[in-house]
Amino acid sequence: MATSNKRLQKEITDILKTPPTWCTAQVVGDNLHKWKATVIGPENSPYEKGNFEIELDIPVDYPFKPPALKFTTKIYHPNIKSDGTVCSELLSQNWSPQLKIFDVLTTIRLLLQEPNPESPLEVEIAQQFKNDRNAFNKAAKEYCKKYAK
Amino acid sequence: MSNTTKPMDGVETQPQQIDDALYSKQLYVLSHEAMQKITSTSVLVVGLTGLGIEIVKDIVLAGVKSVTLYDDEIVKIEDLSSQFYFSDDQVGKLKRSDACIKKVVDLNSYVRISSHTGELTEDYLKQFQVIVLANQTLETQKRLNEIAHKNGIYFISAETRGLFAAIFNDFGENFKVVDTNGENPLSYMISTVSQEDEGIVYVTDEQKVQLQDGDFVTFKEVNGMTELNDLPPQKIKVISPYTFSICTNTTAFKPYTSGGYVTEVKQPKTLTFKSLNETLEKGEGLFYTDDSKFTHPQQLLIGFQSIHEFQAKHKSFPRPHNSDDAKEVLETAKVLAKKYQIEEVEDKLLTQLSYNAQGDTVAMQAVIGGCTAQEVLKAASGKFHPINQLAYFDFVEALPTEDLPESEFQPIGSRYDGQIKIFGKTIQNKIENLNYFLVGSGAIGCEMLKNFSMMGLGCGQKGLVHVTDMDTIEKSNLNRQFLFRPHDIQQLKSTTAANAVKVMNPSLNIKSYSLRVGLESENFYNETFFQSLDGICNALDNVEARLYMDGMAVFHRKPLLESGTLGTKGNTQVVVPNLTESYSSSRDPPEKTIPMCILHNFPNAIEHTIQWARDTFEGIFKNSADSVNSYLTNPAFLQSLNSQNSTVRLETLNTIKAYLVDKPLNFQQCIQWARLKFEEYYNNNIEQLLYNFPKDMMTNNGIPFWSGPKRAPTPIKFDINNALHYDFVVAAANLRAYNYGLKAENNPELIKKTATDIIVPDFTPKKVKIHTTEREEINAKQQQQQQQQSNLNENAEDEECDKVLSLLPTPSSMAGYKINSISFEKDDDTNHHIDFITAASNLRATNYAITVADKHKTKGIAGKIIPALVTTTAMVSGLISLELFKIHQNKPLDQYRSAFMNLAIPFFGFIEPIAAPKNKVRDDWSWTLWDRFDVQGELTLQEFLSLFEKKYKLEISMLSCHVTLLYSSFIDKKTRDQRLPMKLSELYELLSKKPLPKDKRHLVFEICCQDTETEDDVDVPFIKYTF
Repeated sequence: MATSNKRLQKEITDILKTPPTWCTAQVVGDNLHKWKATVIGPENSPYEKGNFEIELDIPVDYPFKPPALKFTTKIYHPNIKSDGTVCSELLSQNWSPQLKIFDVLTTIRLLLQEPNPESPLEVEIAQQFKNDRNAFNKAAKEYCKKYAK
Repeated sequence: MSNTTKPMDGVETQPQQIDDALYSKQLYVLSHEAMQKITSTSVLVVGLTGLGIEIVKDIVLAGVKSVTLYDDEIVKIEDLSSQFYFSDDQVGKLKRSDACIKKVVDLNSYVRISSHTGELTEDYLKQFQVIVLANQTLETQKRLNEIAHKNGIYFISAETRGLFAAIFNDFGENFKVVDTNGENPLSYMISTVSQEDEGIVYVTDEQKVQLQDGDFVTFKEVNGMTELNDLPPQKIKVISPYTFSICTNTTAFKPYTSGGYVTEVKQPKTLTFKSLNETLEKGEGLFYTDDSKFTHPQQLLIGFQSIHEFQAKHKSFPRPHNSDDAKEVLETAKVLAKKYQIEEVEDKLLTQLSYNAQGDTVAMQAVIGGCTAQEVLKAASGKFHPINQLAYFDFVEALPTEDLPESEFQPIGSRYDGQIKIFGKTIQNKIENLNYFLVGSGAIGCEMLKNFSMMGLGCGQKGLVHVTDMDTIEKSNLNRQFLFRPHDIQQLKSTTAANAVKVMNPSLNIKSYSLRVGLESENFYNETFFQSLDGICNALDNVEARLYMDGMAVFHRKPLLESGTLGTKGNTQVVVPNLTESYSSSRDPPEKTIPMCILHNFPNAIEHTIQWARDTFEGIFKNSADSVNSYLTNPAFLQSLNSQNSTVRLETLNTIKAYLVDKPLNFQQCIQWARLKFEEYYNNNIEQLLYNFPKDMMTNNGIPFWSGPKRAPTPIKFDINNALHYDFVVAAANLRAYNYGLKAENNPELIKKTATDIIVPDFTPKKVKIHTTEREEINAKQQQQQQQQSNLNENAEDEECDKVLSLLPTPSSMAGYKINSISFEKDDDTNHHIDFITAASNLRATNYAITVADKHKTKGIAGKIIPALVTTTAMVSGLISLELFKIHQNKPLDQYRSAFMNLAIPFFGFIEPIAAPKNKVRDDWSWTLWDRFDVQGELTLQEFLSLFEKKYKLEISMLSCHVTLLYSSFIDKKTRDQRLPMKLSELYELLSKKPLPKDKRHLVFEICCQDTETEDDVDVPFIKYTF
């Protein structure tokens, strides 16, 4: 417990001290283990300018276990399920205690920049992404416009 | 003359029939095959003092066919130092074998227990497969070994002399080890195989190859170069971390296309053992048990022979701490040293051995007994590599350091005399009056309680052992947790164990609890409780509780004894206040979880399909039922559902509708439901996936989409005559029936007929078409856009939600109705849980051409069963008890040892604990984890911040207590102004929304801060805030 609290104190301080341009992060209420983050859709992607809210549940034995992450903003994306859960190797097989919440958010941003249709969660969206990029972009943009204001 | 005691239950059991429920945890280490051999092995144990009984206990629990006890000597008072099945009233009256046989019989009704008295003749010995000697004279060892060697009987001799010990194995001249390390065969996914003189295998970059030159492998499921699949085991040469060559010319083979696995084939190994006489004569076959003591095996080779020569001459081992006797031993040693051409005799070590020769402590019996018992199981089964051949152990670091007078070590006619001979009266008295908290009375806990009671810990007037365990006893516990009997099943572990161990030593003061340790029990295990302790001993099975107890030990500055086992592997760690690092200072790498896309779409290993089946079980039999019950009973349910996004909302409502409106009325409808689930999971979902990603699809990089770790699935056509399909329907229908409280029928004909008669709708994949012509593309696009627009329409989804909602019966109309939610329970063989998971997982495995797993293996993985052996458990309990002796002698850091071992190899590693790391704040201020700020008296937040600024020159930027953030320099002014004048305990109560318990007198704060002089961020200890 002591390890994780200290780590989280440092991490949130770092983010608040030098806030990145493309995301925000804050503690929900006064609970160090519940965070809310916003990732701004990267330029030149169908998610451009969208504000995507993400809830992070940080386990007691963080950083030995990865945070649990969920999109609360609806998004049209091959690697993000309709219920907001994300398939990412960083958050499962490749998690390491050296990684920080900021690295997790960076990975999410990269995933928005470059979806990975080869390991999809939403297979239909992945298929569309591969075969009909225009239609995919259109749908993703519309979702973004509607939900990620 | 032999006398056989029948199993207590009076049931004659076939030794070949293995009770899976009893042996389940052991089976995951040893396998059924090895277990078969163990259950047909007859063992004779010669010598029934503490060491002998420990060996007997372990092999009886492990389930050999029979154990014959032999020891004609009369029970002595000092035997009670470690013989936990003797009692005071037997001293001077009963033969050792008679004194303990009843209690041995009670350990395991499957094992035939008998005793023998009189001569051990060659004819008599021939009936045994294994004979074990415990603490016998060298003459007896040599005589019996000769008979054993000649007759092909496996022979093991173990002895403990105080804190010194030896184990000798002679398994004959041609002993086959079928598994030399206990690891699962390694397996890799193939990326490609070249066509050349010695074909080169490239594996995917998922995992580096851990095979070595000379290992053997086989191939399976290779496409293209299919000849590989039929090759016999291939000897390999490792080329790089991802490549190796095989000794077969592949030039004439067809070219490799895709798929396939390469799997290690474990090669048996044949060992040749020499007799004890020959081994000692040549001084060969010494096995190293501690790398840091590389001279000890040779020294102890002569030392043990010297004390035995002393014994042969004087009919008694050298007296404790008697210098005359030690001198005589050293003289003998010097003569022997010349024989072995050993240059130097280590006087100090051999003097200690002589001083210790009559010593007897349960800690050593547990270590050496556990280790020896594993050697018996190796002899019986060929499973795991035996000690080859002679191992010496010593734990001299635990011996008293001061030069105490001989009188300290003289027996006083007490049951602890054996231990007094090693440690002296003063330490013995100290041990008896210690207060310890034993957390857990499972496998390690039972062993520790036995150790405590024999050591006398908590048996003095001021001594006390507290033991807690929230669990009740299950059948599978009886295989290791030796304080429990079949009639104790479902009783509390802690109370049962406390009562059982009180019988072993009636002086033991023990209190048992069933309250789990953790934040929620802080009022019970409070500050006063922890202050009363001299130490904490963990006997836990999970990391979370270990971390919590570690935190308590550090906070209250108490020593902590920590240990754990995993099959044949064990480890111990000793945590000493102000000296060592703590348990949480170093951690294992995080457990790997399976990425979701692999679970959902791309499984490639049986672990993936088992996890999928487990998740599916949870989804359809538990979570759905819970949702329905919440809808029916919780008025706020619909409101809380509104906070979810519309997709989730609609999904949940549809589930409730499916479970409530379309509910089955009889078992037949459950069968029909099961049949349709089959279609959905194993045909439709797979068809859909293949529709989206056809088998011949290429990625943008021009390689097949279905390649590497992605295995192309194949849909399954239902066939009721296929056992796997039938099993799925039966298990799913039974669980469904349980959900609705319907009576299930065990009528195969009805099940078969119902499942076959139902009309299953044809499946058409959902459309997102692959376009061939431009026109088609335009049409499709328009169609798609319309579709998406409707998808997109939040209102449409909301409308849909309303529509579903209107179809649901109102909760009031269903008052009292409830669906039985199913909680996964792996240990009930009749509940269909593991049956369902096995069938569901194996069907999915079949979809993906993954090798299926049997019920036993599936249960192990799905139930996250941790394999466990009584032998390893006994050993770690003994090792950690030796550390306990060190703690209460205030030994310096370099005398402690953390142990790592693996009995399968076997390997023993002992390392000095890591010192508590020092953190520097300023040149004149550094601290370790054992330091803290002590802030006494209630303060307001403002006063607290000022205190740190003035007194420590630290500006606090963040302050938290547990998970609650009390203050941060980033909060807005209004909140800040509100909080600054508040008392800290009240602020915590307010923000954590939990009232503090009345007798709570302190809080633990963590801070982030800056040095006000240098403006650097500095790392400082935690704060103990007492109010």
